[in-house]
Amino acid sequence: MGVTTGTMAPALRDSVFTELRTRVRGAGGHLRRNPKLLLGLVMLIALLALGTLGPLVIDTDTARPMSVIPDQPPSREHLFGTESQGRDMLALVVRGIPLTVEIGLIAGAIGLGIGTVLGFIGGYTGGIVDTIIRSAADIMLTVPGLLVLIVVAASIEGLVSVEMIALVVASLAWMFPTRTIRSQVLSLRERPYVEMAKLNGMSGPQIIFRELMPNLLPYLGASFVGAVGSAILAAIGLEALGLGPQNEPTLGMTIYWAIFYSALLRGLWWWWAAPVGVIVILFVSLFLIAAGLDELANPRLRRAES
Amino acid sequence: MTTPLLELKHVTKVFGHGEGATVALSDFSFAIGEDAATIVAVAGESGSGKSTLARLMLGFISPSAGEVRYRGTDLRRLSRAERRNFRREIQAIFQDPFGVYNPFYRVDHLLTTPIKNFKLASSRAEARRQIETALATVGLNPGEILGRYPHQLSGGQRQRITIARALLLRPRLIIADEPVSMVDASLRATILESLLTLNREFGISFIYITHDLTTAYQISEQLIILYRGVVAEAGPAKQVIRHPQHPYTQLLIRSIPTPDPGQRWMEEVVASSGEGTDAAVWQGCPFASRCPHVMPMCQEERPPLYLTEGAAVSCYLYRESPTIEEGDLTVTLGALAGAGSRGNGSITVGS
Amino acid sequence: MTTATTQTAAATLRVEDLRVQFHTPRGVVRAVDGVSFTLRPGERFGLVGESGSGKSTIALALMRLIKPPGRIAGGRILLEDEDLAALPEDAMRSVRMARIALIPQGAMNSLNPVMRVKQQIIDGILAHERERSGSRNGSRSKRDLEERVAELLESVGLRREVAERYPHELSGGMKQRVCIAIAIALRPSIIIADEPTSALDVVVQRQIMQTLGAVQARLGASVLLIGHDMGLMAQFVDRVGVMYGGKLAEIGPTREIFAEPLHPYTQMLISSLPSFDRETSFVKLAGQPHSPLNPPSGCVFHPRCPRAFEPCPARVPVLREVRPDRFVSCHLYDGAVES
Repeated sequence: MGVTTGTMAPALRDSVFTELRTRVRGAGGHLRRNPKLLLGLVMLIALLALGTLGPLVIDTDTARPMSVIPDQPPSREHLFGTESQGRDMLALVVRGIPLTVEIGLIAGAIGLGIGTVLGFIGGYTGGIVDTIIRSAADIMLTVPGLLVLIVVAASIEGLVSVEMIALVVASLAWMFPTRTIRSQVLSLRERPYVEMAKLNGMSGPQIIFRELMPNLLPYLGASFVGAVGSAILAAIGLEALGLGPQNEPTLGMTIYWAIFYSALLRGLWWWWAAPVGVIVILFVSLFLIAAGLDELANPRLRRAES
Repeated sequence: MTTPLLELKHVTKVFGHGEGATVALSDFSFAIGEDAATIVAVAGESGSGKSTLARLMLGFISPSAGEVRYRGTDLRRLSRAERRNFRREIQAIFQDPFGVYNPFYRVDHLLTTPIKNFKLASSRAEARRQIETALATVGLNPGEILGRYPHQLSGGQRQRITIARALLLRPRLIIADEPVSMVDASLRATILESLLTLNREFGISFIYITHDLTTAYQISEQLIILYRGVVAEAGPAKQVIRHPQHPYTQLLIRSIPTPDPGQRWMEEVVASSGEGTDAAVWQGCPFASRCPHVMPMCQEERPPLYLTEGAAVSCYLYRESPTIEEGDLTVTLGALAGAGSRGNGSITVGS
Repeated sequence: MTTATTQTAAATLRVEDLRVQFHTPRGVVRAVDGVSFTLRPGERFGLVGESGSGKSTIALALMRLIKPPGRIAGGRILLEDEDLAALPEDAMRSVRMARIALIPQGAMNSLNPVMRVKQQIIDGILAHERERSGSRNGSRSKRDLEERVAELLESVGLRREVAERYPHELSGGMKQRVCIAIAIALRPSIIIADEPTSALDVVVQRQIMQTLGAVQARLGASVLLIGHDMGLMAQFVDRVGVMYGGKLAEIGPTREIFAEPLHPYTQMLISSLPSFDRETSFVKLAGQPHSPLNPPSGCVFHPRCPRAFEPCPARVPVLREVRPDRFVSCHLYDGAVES
């Protein structure tokens, strides 16, 4: 049975990486049709640029107490004003963005990582393992999260570091991803292509990593963005209550000090405005990215572009 | 007699427990050898147990009672190496020619995966040559197929790729579960023809599972009619369809709308299937509540399979004929097949 | 037989040059592209075609139920000289169910699972009456309505007790009967049935089609049956229209079309019908259906047509009456037009 060589097709294309490369290459087109994702990314990149490139332009040493004249409103010299301990607000924000994002990334990654592992194990294997995982996640979800965080954070002895607060937040960030990923895996597991994979001699782990996981990548991406957002929110909540890292100027701690020094009553609005404004931009950008990725993950939209 | 390739011994499959339990397949025995490649159609309506049968034969589910054996060994007791051979030798083609493709990958994925996992090729070039040959065998031009995503192809093309995939593994038996029911009429013929090519040129046997007797008639040598998990009638396909003997088979065949204006399809009045649960189903003949020839004995005990002229029929109307004992069956149906059809499939049916 | 009526007889429903387009990011899909046919009073007319031929879109268009990004882009739908395509939406609402009823594809799976059968039928009746009577109070008592529900159920071959059941307590065939009962609740003069038996077994399929036929006879309604099964068409409809690629390839009396199909596509469909009388032979159609975004030039069927010749890729054929009551859209019959 001769196959005519005249119809030579390009080499067989069958790897996760080929597909990912194709998708990334096509991402420009996606972005043009996905203004949410585009706008969200632009906002996030701008914020991160402020946090990473800012120290090159401005003197972040002025984020230390007693380094500038206290309680100055925004001026040409202090664009965002200064606060009562004698710190420059712009420097505080520039130092605070990477710290806060770091907490979010660590806690979000750990929470989603645990959730992904548990969700896949529970959803794919089923049985008693699944029952245990599902029950644990469900029970933990009913516990009021902030309360637990407060208790845990308050019981930490000595100085709290950025990494510690991230771990505390992560300890309660895994249940929601576990549950949603488990349900996604449950529905994917019933797809005919999973049976086909068994006929093709694939083992359980192979099916999870090569058949199921790639289809969940956009979903995992959206979940990660959501998890980072939730973690930042939880961390800011703890910090605003004074349970954060006292020696680090995270955005939440800046709010804590503003409360501590009654900034609002004293009319020092800029003390509030700077961290709250940055947090709002951060959340809006994360929300837009998550919504944009969701659109990308929606198979109906993907099929429409045949 | 040599050990059959795949054998079902008194297989019963029950889903659910207690009150809500449904018996999908009841005391089904069946064997398929490998001395001659054959095509056996298993036909029935929804709820007849035909899809359960397919999943049992593929080892996707385990029987509630009885055994499914691959080369003499219960599927649940296969060694690692035997299991591997079982997976390669017993393959499948499914109904949904879109769902079997992982939407993340190009269609290439479906073809390269079995080659990798079963180490069928020594190099990438060799793999490619095998894939192109298999695609050409089912009438596809590799250049038009490879590198595409499943949604860029037609249903007929997609289904033929799954046939090429099965062919790559050089299986002994393919379970084809409704392979054309989701494909347009104008593309069906190409798929059925590909199945016949695999059967005739590569010596691959088929279990063709369908609700559609017309395609069963077109490609199969043997035909088994299932009704509510029980064999109603079995025999050479042409014999069963042209001269149906079980009242259920007769009803089924009369119900197919054909282009024949004399069929009086709209006129004949048919008893409704006994809606809801039917106590008689699991002790008597499952068809008794709808049967125009029902007798008191039908309600009491399930009829055995009688060997009539040309077929095995589970109906007391044929109680004058000899019953078929298990063990005799290979010979009996083999002989029936020899008389009526091209092949000489070794098939065993018992109930 | 109703097919004896000539083209000039009073038409119940006349579709003229209907066009339905879907605007997708990749271009315009002409799902229905200039379709004309007439549904005569009391007749059973079939539209047969494969997936993507546009047959279901026609059903939705006649009911004015096309949803964005689709829209009716042209043509007229004349119901006793009233153009439904141009009717305002509120006027159209009083046409639906009362004059044209649709049994949509997969209807039996869209029954409300938490509502008794009775309530679903009553809701259909009341919703329509509110629409028509405006502010006037509901004119029927509860007992009247329940009696009407019982009548309807009996007319589709169900016992009246079924009214008290929930959909999950019914078999597929029974659910489909309930859907027919809902469709005929307001005695429409046209019943559109889109693949009413596609998920049912052959034995049940026949019972459902017999029920539909009986109901139609009692109402004196006409039926538009939409489907893909040529055998079912042969047994049920008086006349059939064959669709391909959003266009009608051929229309004619069922018996004549089966005896002597004119369009090559129809010929292929009919010769590929498996028959228990003939020996196995596979009639294959070359090629693949075209992409709806990129239809071929000229006749949409020409790339797959075994009898294509010079004019086929160049000119779009027109549906013409080549013999009495036989309409074909094919260049093979360009010379055969009756003047």
